[in-house]
Amino acid sequence: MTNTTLTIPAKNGGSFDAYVAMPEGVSPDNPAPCVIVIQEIFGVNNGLRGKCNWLASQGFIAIAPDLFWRVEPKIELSDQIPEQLQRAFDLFGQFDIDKGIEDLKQTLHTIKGHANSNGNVGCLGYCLGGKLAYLLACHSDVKASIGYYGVGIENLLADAKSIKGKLMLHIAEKDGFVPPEAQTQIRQTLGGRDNIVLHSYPDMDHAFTREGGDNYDAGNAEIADSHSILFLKENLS
Amino acid sequence: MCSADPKELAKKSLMIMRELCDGNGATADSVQIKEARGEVLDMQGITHIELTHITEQERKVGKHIQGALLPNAQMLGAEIAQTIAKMGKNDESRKVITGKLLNRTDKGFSSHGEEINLPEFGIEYTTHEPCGSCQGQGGATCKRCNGRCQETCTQCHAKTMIPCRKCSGNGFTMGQDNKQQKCNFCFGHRQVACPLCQKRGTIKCRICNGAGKTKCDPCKGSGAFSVFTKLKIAIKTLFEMDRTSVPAPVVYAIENSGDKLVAQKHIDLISAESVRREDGGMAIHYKARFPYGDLVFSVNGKPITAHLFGNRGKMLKLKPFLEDMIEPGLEHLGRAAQGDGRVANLIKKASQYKLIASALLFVSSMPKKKAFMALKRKYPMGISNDAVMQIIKQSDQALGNVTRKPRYMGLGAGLIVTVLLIGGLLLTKTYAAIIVKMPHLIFEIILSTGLVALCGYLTTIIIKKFADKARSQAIGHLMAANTKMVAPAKTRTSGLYAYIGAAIILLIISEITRHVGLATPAWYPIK
Repeated sequence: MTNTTLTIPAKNGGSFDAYVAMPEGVSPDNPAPCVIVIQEIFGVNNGLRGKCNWLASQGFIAIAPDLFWRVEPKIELSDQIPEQLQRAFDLFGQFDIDKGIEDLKQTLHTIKGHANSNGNVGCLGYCLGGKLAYLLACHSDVKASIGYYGVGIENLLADAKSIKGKLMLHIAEKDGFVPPEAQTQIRQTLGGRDNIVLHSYPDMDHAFTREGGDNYDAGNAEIADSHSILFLKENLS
Repeated sequence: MCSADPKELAKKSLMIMRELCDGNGATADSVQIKEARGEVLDMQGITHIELTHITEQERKVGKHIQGALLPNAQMLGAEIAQTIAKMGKNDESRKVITGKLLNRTDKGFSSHGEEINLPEFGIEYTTHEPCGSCQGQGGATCKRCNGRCQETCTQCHAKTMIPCRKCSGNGFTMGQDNKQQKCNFCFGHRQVACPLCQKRGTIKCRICNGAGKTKCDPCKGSGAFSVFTKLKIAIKTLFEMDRTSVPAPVVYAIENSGDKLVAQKHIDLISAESVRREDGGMAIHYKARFPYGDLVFSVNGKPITAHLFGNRGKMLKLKPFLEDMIEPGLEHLGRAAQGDGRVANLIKKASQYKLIASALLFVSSMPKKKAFMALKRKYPMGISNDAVMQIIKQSDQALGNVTRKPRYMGLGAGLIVTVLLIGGLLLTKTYAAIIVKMPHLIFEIILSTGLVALCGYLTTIIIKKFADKARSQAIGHLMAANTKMVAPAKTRTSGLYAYIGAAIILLIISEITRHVGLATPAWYPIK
């Protein structure tokens, strides 16, 4: 696996960096599918780069754009340091969701043309990224989207009618940021659709797949990740 | 099959004429048959059946099949023409088609210009058309890369190399001993291979994903459209008869309502047979029989002519004669409608004629349109529609006039009752005692509105009573004891005045309460 950084031009001027993890053996003659890894509120930090590397090890070109670049570029925070946690919430407060979606569309456009890409692009996001993955599914031609414990999706369910690709949502049933009523709303609206898969994890709290986090649960994280890999392989290969 | 005896029918016609004339300026005995000539006539007719069709088309993207698949639109036209031609020749189809008419009560006799759908013969066809936009290819050259499959790399802009990120393009970095050292990422070359295009300078076109073509939009990449054609078959009828073999009034009657004449058995159909025309077309041939004759009635010595037609003694060409016979009554009714003289007396005189009496009764017991229809049913011949309408109108006006004064009197009496009721409530301490228990202004408004409605309603009842009495004086002699009457003419208008009057009285009394120091309704503007 190799990694590099791409500079992606933003739609209305400026540019932002994106971390790219490239699987072994890919080349223009042996292209691979791409996955946009969408950050939590902690920026493109070690944890997120680790997720990119994990996807690369599974044969996907993984790219994680720095979505907080308009507020503060190249920010990397940890949930384990209280000041940084506070800073993360501050940045989240200043983050413009619409601009974020615009940047993700630019990322999608760029990585699609990568010399080693097979042209099939999916996305996968955690927390804030989970919501953005849902919105990217609603408002772009991304082929497959995966949202891990996305926050605030219940308020955006009307957008779901425009989902063209496939969507998978991992829902933590004890998520402190997604109350049971919101989860019910999501299930009632999105459940039963052919192109949407919902996975629920009883007794799991928010960020149960974040290694080193307070709510990390290795067993459920492995189940969720294996669902995701299978889903991405089915839809992007 | 035998048609009715013309002599018997003439007698029946006499009964009808006596019914029309009796009490309308003549007695039953004064109506006699002066001359009667009758015979049974036979006639022949033919209803031609032409096959017609309509096609409905629907286009759908892609290649689909519904019904028979045909290679192209030309073949479709030929197939439709062939299908219709076959249908006309096929005995089974002809039986079904002619059966559509023969199974009806009129057997299609005199059906002319009628269109009958034959849903059982509906056929669906499909043709496939190549997409005009992509000439059936399903794809179009990608507009972004013009079919080159590649576009300029957005990272290096075709330079294939980008400045090294680690040394920012300097070729060296600062070591731990604060000395410059060769960059270990670009090895001092200052540049590294573009990570996006891998030194190619171009990347795969992101619109067509390197294919050089995109899906054609109109056909969604299928290259074709399916055209579904629904062929709907119908028949159109055309009736022909030998107009010279039957009297002119009968020709007119058959051409205008021949279907009803057969269905209601005025005419007997001796035979109705499906035939093949010389040109191969379909038709139904009829032989019909009916009694016909000329009649001359004598009514009060005056001759009235009519043609007798059909098994039920229908009289054709009977000119309106009743208007002349009831002329004196019409004159009285006209004067009553204009209010010229003592209206009640004029109505009584006019109602000596049965026809006018019926009109007055109908107008009293039903709306004008229904009254017209009822009078027309009672006098279906011998009087024109215009005359019937005029009699109905004048009857309504006359009854309105006879109730005018009583309506005003009723309105006056009702308004006095209103003053007593509202005054009794507001000009005493009763009102103050009531409103003190009301928690909100809205209840006081409801109370006042209810009071106005009650007074208006009472006044309307009083008006109706007065008007009813006057109407009974004028036409009571015509009414049976249990005749159900509608409200006398114009009592609804007077009723409206009753409600307006009640509202005005409430306002006036409210104003009075202000000046005499009694409780004024809270809704009443004091300033």
